[in-house]
Amino acid sequence: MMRLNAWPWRWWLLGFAGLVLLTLALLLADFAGVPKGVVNGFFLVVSIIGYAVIGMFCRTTIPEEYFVAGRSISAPLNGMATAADWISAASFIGLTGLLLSDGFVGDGQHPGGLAYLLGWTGGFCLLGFLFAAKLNKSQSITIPDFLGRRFDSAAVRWLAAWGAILCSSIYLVAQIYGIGLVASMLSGLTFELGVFLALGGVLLCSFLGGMRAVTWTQGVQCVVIVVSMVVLGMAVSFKTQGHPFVTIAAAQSLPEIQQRAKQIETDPAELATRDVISLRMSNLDVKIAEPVYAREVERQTVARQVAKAKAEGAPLREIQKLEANPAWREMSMDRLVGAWQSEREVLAEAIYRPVGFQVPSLSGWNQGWFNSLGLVFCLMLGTAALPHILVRSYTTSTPVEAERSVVWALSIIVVVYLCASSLAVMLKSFVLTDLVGSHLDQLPDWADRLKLRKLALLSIQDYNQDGIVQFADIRLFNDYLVLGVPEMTHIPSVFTGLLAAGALAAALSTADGLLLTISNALAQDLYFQTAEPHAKPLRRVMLSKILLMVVALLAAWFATNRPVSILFWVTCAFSLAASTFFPVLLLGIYWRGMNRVGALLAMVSGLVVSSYYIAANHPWVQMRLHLHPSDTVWLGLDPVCAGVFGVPVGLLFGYLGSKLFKIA
Amino acid sequence: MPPTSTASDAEAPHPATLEVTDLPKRALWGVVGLVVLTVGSLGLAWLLPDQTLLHFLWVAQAVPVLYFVLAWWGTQSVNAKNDAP
Repeated sequence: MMRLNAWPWRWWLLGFAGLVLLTLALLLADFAGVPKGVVNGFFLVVSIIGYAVIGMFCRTTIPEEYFVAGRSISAPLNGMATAADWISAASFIGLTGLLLSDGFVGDGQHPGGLAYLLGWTGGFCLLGFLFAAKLNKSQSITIPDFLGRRFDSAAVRWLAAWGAILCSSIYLVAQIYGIGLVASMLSGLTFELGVFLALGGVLLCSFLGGMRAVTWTQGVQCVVIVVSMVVLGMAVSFKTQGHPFVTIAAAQSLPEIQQRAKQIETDPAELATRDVISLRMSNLDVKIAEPVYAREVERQTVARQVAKAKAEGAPLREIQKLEANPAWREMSMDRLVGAWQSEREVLAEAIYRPVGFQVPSLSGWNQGWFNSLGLVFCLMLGTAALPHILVRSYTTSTPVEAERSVVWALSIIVVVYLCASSLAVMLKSFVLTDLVGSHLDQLPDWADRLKLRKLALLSIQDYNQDGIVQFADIRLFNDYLVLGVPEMTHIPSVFTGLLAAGALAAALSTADGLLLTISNALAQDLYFQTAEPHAKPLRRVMLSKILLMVVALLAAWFATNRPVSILFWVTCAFSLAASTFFPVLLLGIYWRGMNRVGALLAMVSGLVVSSYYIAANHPWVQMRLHLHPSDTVWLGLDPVCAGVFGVPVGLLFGYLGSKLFKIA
Repeated sequence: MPPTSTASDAEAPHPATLEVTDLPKRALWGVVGLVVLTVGSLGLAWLLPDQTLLHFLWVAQAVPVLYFVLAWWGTQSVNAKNDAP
């Protein structure tokens, strides 16, 4: 039986009650006519100030408190912190949009949303079964520290530190990008200012109190995440089916969705739209194959059109629209081909994604099946090997508590994901019944609002020029579509603030954990291990804090300079973590014959194979090196499934290295 | 308020060696259960591609709950062995 310590639970109940009261107060303010921006901004300000205050209360310079929260966190609180650490911007904001857009079983080529759902939850079983108790028992402070001590090797610790930095950095940039999106949406600030504002909250928390402050903040953030997702699910459920039971409401909506999807799939206007899109894709294929010739032809055409428009005195907007053609605008051939490739990807997505939750002709064990299995494999093993999740095993007092905390974390994550998948079903009915078939000049009010937002969540292009919205005309921005749920479903705008507070909490909590992991690896495992092995504890903490700030600013700079596909990079981070750490942890913990040569080979080979597969299949690399996907794709698996190759290679090299290079 | 540790050095309390042990039986069966449940559920979804309600109720809703039950069950026997820090 899991025993609960009374006092912390009184704090959590107080926090929960405070959140409910705040939401009710803002709901009343909303009904009283207080502007939406003020209500939403209040959520942003209260959230960030609240997290910062906890950070300041928990400030510490004691190393064991700073690095592992004094190894005294109870299982329920550690589980809540792990869940908040885990539920990132990608999974909180992205999962609903992904299920809505890609369906459950995908399009027959790529994995559907179910693969993400299973991979992200099942990985916690592996973490609990295999690693949590063993890591706690080791009394280490970082994963590289554990590996370095297990194999009595500075080289292993050094390499593991770089592996942890790489995986966590990729993950961190995606989180910071998510933070910027949510903060700018809530505050109305620019994306860049949103990033730096929210980052202030992260830094105040993790900079002052390290793991101790992060644990308590993540506990509060976990409450915010769960409450916002559950309350939103219940509100949408009440709106659509008249009761608050999300799973039942979604199941009730499904037959209607299926019927509507079948109508749309056979609608002649929909088929005509798809024909137009296919033709455009063929034209783009020709252009991409002969870019120099295509650019010249396109430029001459645009020049003629612009001259004609000017001669006829066309509005400036029309002329600017013509000049926006990439063949006219882009001077670099690489960028032009990149623009054409991006356009082709958008078109392909429009016709291949399912209308309902699966494509109609899907049957048999197609490529989508292998991609789904591959992705589940990578996500599960990645979950069990992500350094910022593993490090939470050190913060409980005993191995038993570490395992119990994994079970607590999984229970919280499951609740959030059950609501997310139900929300996807209910939102689909709004898209198929309200939007598809409406006239372009008489769109539902929510569609207009989502289109015209500063951060657009929806775009519509009338491909067959009939003035009616077909399903293939619609582009939903999956990564953050869920932020538009209150507008789509006409629930009070206070839910926008609550949802965004949940999304912000998800991104901030993950960013906190990642920042600590990176800065501790840099300070503890790289600098002090090599340059100052006998440094005083206070100096260790101070350098970790300084590095934490530097890493946060670097990640923010990177995120504000490049558009990031949150889901793609987060999934890549899972594959890299699985390939780098899973083989060495599994063999290192359960096989006595594993030695330092095997450990080094396992990490290097896994990391190299996965990194190569992701890089070689990235569109930018393919364009630069004139590669074709058929040259670089193995077994038809998507780049995010790189761990399918990296993990077995890591295990094999770990075994062979240990067998062939015996160490006395 | 958060409890405060009295330890002064994070590096101090390391045990001399790290113990390498066999995988507990129940954890091993837990891993087997995880693989069977995952592959079986996804296989069912692919075998019956038109049964969206089944995909939703079983794979998207029931399986994550079963993972939770499996995680709770699989860590039970390990608890007894690992009770001492």
